[in-house]
Amino acid sequence: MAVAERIPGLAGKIAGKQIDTDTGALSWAMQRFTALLVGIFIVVHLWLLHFTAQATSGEPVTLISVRERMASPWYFILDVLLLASLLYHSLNGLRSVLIDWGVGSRSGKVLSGTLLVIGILLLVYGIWALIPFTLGQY
Amino acid sequence: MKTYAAANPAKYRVGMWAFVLHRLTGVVLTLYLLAHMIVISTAAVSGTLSFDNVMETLHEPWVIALELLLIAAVVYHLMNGVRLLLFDIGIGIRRQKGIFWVLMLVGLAAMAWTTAALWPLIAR
Repeated sequence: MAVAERIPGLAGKIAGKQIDTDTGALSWAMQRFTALLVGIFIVVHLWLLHFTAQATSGEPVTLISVRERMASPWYFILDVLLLASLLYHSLNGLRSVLIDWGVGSRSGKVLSGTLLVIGILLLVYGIWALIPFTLGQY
Repeated sequence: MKTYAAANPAKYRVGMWAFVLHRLTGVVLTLYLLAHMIVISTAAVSGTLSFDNVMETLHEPWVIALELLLIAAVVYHLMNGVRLLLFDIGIGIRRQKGIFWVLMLVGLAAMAWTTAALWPLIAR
């Protein structure tokens, strides 16, 4: 049927068999894509926080100095992008390791779903954690 | 290098260790990410004084030295990751060992630079 050809997995379901046609190609590609993003963002993050002249001068890091730095919204955007891509890359990597160890061999969807939920929760937590650094009041 | 081949079964050579270390650093960095988010957010949530105190502790020489270990893990994972990305586009699979060592040299240079940059904070 033309419809079954266009929707992945549908032909298997119609025939009454549970065929998983997901090759994991998207996750494979996303792992590489997020790897590139993280590679760049991490270097920028480490540089801005630890290797600028101000950071290596020995001046103490205080909540006020961090808020002054975060006055520019680009820092917040960088941190959120870094966190999102890093969470995807880490948790997908963990997923690979767990699959190699046999976890989720019967219920791959439970494994992926759990990691997805953890990822979303950690992303929300991370963005929430940035908020005290963005307030203008001292 | 016949003795090398005799002493090291093919499946236990550089390629395997590169893979093992890549996974190990990946898991360690994931755990670090979690710890990092928790430390920074709990330090900030109780206001200025607690955050400044935590920051002071985290800038002690031994903590900065530990950070060098962390950066080493990042550098390794990144360098081997670049090697894997090269393979994914089909470049250099037959020269994988050479590419590994070249990238490790680059990583070593990065670590030397990093150590030099952070040395004033460690040696005070």
